[in-house]
This record gives sequence, structure tokens and C-alpha cells, in this order.
Amino acid sequence: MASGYREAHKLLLALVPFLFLTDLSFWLFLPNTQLSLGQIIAVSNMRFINLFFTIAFFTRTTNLFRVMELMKKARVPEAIYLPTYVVLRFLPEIERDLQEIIAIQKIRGVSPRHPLRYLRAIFVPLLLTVFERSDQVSIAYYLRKKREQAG
Amino acid sequence: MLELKGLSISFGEKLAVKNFSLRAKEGERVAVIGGNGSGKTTIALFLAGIIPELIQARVEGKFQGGKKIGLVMQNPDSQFLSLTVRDELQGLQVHGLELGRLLGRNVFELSEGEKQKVNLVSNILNRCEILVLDEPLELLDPPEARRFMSVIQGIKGKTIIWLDKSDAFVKGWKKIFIDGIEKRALPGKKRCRAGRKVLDADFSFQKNGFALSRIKLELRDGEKVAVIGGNGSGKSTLLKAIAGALKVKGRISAAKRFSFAPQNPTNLFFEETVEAELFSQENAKALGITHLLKENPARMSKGQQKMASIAAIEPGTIALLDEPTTWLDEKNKRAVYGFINGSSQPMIIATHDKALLKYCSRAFMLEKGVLSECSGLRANRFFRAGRNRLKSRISS
Repeated sequence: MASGYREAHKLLLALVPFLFLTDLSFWLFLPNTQLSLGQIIAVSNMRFINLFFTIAFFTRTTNLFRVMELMKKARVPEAIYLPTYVVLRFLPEIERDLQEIIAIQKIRGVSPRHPLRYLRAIFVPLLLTVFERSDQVSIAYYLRKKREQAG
Repeated sequence: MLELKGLSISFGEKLAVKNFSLRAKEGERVAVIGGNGSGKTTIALFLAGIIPELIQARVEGKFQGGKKIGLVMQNPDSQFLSLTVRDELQGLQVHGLELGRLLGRNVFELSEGEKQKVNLVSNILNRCEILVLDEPLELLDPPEARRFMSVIQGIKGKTIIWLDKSDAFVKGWKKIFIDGIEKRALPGKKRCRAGRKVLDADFSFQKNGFALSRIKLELRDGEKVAVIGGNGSGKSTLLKAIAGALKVKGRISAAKRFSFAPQNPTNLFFEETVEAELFSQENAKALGITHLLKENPARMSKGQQKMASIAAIEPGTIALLDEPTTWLDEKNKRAVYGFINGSSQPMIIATHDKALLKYCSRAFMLEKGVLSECSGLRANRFFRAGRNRLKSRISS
């Protein structure tokens, strides 16, 4: 139970920069609003927190592959099914990559004490690995379609 | 009939392939062999028709070939478009490729070798005429690689183009060398003098149904230790746990800090030049990659990145090397052997490479989450597994 609380605490801490950004964008795009600062923060943050926890709850409790199987059984057209599948199948892989990169940079001695350097050390390799994976998937898909067209 | 004449491909200023020619009759098997950064992947993408169509590049030369081309790439994970093996093979029947028992399974539960097999078979079943294999064995352990080869040997009536760094697996095929293979003698073994104890680990680790139980490992200064084991046996996890990146039960006491060269070198680099990533240029000199120092890691080939990631280990620490010789050609491999042999750092090396065991004083086998010291005989058995099967397949 205690570890659950700790995890929730960590999640909330990770949210803080995003919350700040949403507040900022809300305030920038709605400069003539009648709302007070407190209300702006409340509204924009609640929106974001709702979204975040809904998605987190959905991905943690749902077997994504089961969802995909059902979509296939319900004969959802390929134009919808395939992009959804590609997005969903990448989520666990991205999570695994992220954990791997965090571990590697931790061993290397890049610490969150220098936040900019730390963010760069995490996100640059993550983006590169994700691009590599997406390239390969798109090549595989392209070749399959090409063969199908050839007959 | 496939024919390439005087092919040159360049991306902007950079010339990736220079004056390459290839001729393959129907049903012929051709191995294209070249070192790191010699343009093997570029040739594979060109043969598959990706390069002028999806990726822009300047292409010169004559090309004549079939339209239905299958491509199997290095990374077995990222080539699937379906959930189960049955869907991936699109309901087509498989005969004699030992895939029957895999049919109902989720593609992500398969072992690396099985994944590559499914990739290969789905290409074949889609009635491709020409099969292009771009280093398909790179991430497989030796027994898995042999099993995969036995499937390849059984394919009949397809033109196969195999691109790889060495000709170890393609005995008897027609060979084309992109650049001459340089064969230098292996560095002789230097006796290392073991100093005081620098690492004493006794722990267990458990997460998501995966477990390492009661790992006991002692390491002395200057000593090199090898860890062998199949794909998915947890070698990388073991190294990360030892370095303190994972939460473990038990104790790990180390007298020095750690540095880690990961299996996928892309995960390491975030600076703009290789030089900025390195702690000192000594390692780069020892590995012979001083010409790469000013390059951007994101634009280098996998093998070059791997060399840079090994050069990035910090002197005076306990070095943890995860598969240091994957993606490397013969010349670079020897440079790495020489580097490991000449270094006075204590090292733990997870590997599939048999030649590397020679430079280690002890070897451990990781199997079903248990780490046990293993003799040369047992290690040999691990590396030879699957070899007899290959012979029987060819003779029949």
C-alpha cells in the first residue's frame, strides 16, 4: 500500500511542469477572461488532471491487446484499426525505452540536479530510438502494401 | 534476375554507397559483406525500393529486378503489423518450418529468434521473389542464430541477398565484398594481476514475473568477468542491478563507481559530438576511432555508435559492458578485444561472442535467473547448441 502512495506521489510530481505549461497557455490564450488567477489555475489544472488520470487509469487497467482483438472482431475498417494499433503497440515499448535510458543516465552520473542537462540526456536518446522504431514499422508496412498491390 | 551496375547513393554531401555492382540469377544466394559504415543498410533499402520512393537520395547506376521484394531487418521487434502470429502470416499455411506451435501466440511473447523467423516466413508467404536480409542474426544468441540459419537453408526457389559483416554463416554462397576484409591476428592474452576486492554483490531482484535469485558475484581489481546466457535471460538487467539503477533486495558493496556501455548505443548519446561524450580521449585512441571524434552520434551507423559507446566508459571505474561486440565488423571487434585485454579496469562483460571469453579470467552462465560459475566446457556446449541440427537439415 505504501509503495502505491509513493508511486502516486511521483506521478503527481511529474505532472507539475505540465500543469504549469497548461496554466501558462490558458492565461496566454484567454487574456480577456473574467476569471481570477485562482479560478484559471483550478479550471485548467482540473482539465489536465482529469485527462491524465483517465488515460493513466485506462492504460494501467486495460489489456491493450484485448482491445485491439475486439476491434478486429468488430471489423473496424483498417484505416482506423491500423493507426490505433501502431500507436498503442508503441506505448509499452516507449515506456521500456524510457526506463532503460533513465537507468543508463543514472549510472553515468547525469543527475536531476542539473535539470536542463538531465532533460536533454533523457529526451534526445528517447526521441532517436522512437524514430528508429517508427521508421522500421513504416518500412515494413510500406513493403507489405506494395507486395499486395503487385498481386 | 537481379542486376545492379555501378550503383552510387548519396545523401546530400555524404556518399553512402560507391560504385557497387551485383548480379544474381533466379534462385541464387548472394552474400554481400562489408564493414561498419560501408552502406549495407542503404543497399538493402535500395533493393527494397524504399530509397528513391520513401527516403530521398541521389542515385546513379543501372538497376533491373523484380517488384516483389521481402526485407528482414536487424531489429526483430519493430517489423510486426499484427497481434498474433496467425494474423501476421495472414492465414497462409506453413509447412516444415516448425512454426505450427507458434501460430496462436502473441507476437510479443516470442523469443528474438522466433520473431525473426516469423518475419522471414511472413515475407516468404507473401510470395516475394527476392528476399533481402539485412544482418538478421545481429541480436540473436548463437543457438537461435543457428536455428534461424537452418530455416534459411531450407528455402528453395527464391533469390536471397544476405547483407552482413562477416562470412561466418554463409559458407558456400556467392560472395561480394564491398570493401576488403582486413584479417588481423587476435591480440594475445595478457595475464592480469587481480588486486584488492572492488565489488561484492549478493542480492535478488524481482519485477513483473521476472526474477534474478540470489546473485553472488565478487570482483577484484583488474579482473575481467564474462556473463553468458540466451536472449531474455536477464543479462542486461543483471548489469543494471549491479550498477545500482534498479531496486534490489540484498547488498551490493562497491569500492569504485560504475560506468555502463549499453546494448543499444543510441540510448546513451545526447551531445552534439562524440568528443563531448567521452571522459578522455585515451579510450578513443586505444579503440582507433579518433576520426569519429567530431561527428554527430545521431548520424553515425550502429557499429560506429557502438565503438563510441565503449570509448565513453570512464577510466578508473568498474566497467559494465553489455554485448560490446554486436554490430561490429571484424576489424572493430579486434580493436575492442585489444582494448579489453589492455585495460587495467575491472570489467563485467555480458556477451554472445565466444572469442571474447578468451580475454576473461572467469565466465558465468545466467540461466533461469540463476547465476553460476561455468567451466569452459559448459560455455562451449552453450555456444555449440543447435549445430548438429543444422548439419542434419542440410544432409536431408
